[in-house]
Amino acid sequence: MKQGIRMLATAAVLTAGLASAAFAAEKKYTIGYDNYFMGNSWSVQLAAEFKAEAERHKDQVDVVYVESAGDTQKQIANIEDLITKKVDAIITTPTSPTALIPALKKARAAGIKVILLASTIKSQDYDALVTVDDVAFGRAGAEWLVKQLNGKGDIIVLNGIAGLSTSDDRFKGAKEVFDKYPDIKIVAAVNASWDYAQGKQAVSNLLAANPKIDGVWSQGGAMTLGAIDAFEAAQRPLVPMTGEDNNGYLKRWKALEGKGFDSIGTSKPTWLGSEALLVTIKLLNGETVEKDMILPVPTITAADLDKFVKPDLSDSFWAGTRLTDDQVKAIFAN
Amino acid sequence: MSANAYLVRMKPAPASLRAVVLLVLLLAAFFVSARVFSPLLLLDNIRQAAPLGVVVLGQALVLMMGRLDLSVGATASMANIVLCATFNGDMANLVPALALTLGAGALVGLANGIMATKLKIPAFLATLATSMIVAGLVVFFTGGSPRGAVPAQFRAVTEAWLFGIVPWSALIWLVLLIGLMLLVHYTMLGRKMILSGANLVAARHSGIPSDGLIVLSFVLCSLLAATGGILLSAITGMASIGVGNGFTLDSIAAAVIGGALFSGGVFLPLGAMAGALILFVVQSLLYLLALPPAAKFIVQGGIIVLALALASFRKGRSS
Repeated sequence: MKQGIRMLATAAVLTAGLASAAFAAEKKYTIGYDNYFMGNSWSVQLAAEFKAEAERHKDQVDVVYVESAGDTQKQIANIEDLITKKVDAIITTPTSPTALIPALKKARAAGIKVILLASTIKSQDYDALVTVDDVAFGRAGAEWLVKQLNGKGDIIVLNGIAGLSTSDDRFKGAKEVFDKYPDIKIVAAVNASWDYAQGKQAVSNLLAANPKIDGVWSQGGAMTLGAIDAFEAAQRPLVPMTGEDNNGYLKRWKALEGKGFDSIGTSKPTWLGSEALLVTIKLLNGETVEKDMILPVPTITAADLDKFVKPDLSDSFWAGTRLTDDQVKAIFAN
Repeated sequence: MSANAYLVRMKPAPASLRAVVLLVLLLAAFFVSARVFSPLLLLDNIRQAAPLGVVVLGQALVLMMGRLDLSVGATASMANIVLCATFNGDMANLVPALALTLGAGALVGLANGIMATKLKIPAFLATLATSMIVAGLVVFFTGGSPRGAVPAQFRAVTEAWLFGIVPWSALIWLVLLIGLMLLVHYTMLGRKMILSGANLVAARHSGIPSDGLIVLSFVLCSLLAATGGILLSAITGMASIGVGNGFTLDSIAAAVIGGALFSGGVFLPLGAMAGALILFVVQSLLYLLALPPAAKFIVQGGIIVLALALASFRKGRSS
């Protein structure tokens, strides 16, 4: 008799378990995540943030990962592949503002939600865009710099790569600010590819040619590091410079704080990767989301530098993260 | 060989001199736009051009053998990753870090050489393939997020100046340049290499082990590319993926500006040095003039055309 009851109970539990599993499977979404590039630490962390968020929602979503390796042709093929797999939504970071449009159109025609992460296209063929505004990114640094210089001084500008929207938009935002102050003079605006060595080469030559430079507006932390080293090599006192939220830069800033160096770290946060998944789930649940989610640019100032700098982590870590300390350590332990 | 013959061989080739003249003209424009004449500024540019300059020496050596190495950029980038990872910011790791980095470089060269000789794969395809494999391995092993750093003391290699006037990196560049010049132009081994590069069939008929010499040139080239990567790492101090990739095209352009011929048989170390400096100073000049980067490619292309046109103009007149 006892045995019989136990069997019945077991059966009941089993049935309940099966039923709930079936119920969950019904509600579970399949999301295609296109890992656009794995060639730099920012893109690696962007993908890691997404993965961590997907792990937190693993009862709600299954993820199909594809790798595009920075190759637009491959990205198109990957999206076609995800369409064939009949995923519910595709999250992608377009490597071209135009080339992906036909594939994304096709995806939407098949009833798949398209979410753009950190980069956009020149059409309306998407359901949501999750990014920060690069114009605002440039503006934030420029406003800080103008304030440091009391609206007056000779500055140099370090841009990324002319023609890329990130670089052009950031400079556009900065220029809007500088144009309002007639006493701010841009003595040179150069393109140094967001690269340390090129930034250093540019600044060391500009220092030789310009006895007076009062500030540096840079749209990348590596270039700012190059600028700092060029100033130090030329034995010129450091001037206010704008930077970014990468750990290598924050560490250096921290070390120079005592010498009167001041900076600002503007951020295109990698947690956009996590945000993209949250937006996708909302979309699939039928909730309305803002189509263009242009988030405000987070900044780090001297006041909260200590909160963001991680002396025990590698230089390639980015401070704008939602990863836990353990997850960060697993990727960026030095 | 008489002392006189040595002196004759010391005389720079016309192609080298043309590159030097081009460099002097460019420097004049550079100092005018900087509005300051300072030898220190020139030395500072030489200091920063050293990584490219060392890579160009290797490329010139492979070009002398009538081959092309498209993997120097990937090899220099790999050297940066391996060096930073093994150094891990601690000067105590100096010997293993250098040994492992140069060893990995030599392996790439060995693979290139064997593919180009034993497997008879055209060198530019073989080296293109290795560059892809090397770049892929780097991303695979780092997961896209490279680790480690170059210790501050080691960065003196490119950042410090001997007696405050001569940058160490310029000295390293010069020593490697003279070493290669002596090897190629003043040893029997080097002369056999030139002959193999100029006329492979004739060299084989004379019993010269040309295949081995070609492998040797690829190994030396990759070692120099890794050295360039090490110098670049001293400049940047950090590990970043693909940091030396620009060296591939720049090294070919610089070697050609410096008088190297795709047909092989020519090794002009002075020209190679001038070619590397021309490319670097052009970049500095563009920064000073704040010209867009597109201008860099146009100017670089223009200089290559000018250098080659000058060469064929001279040839046309003398023949």
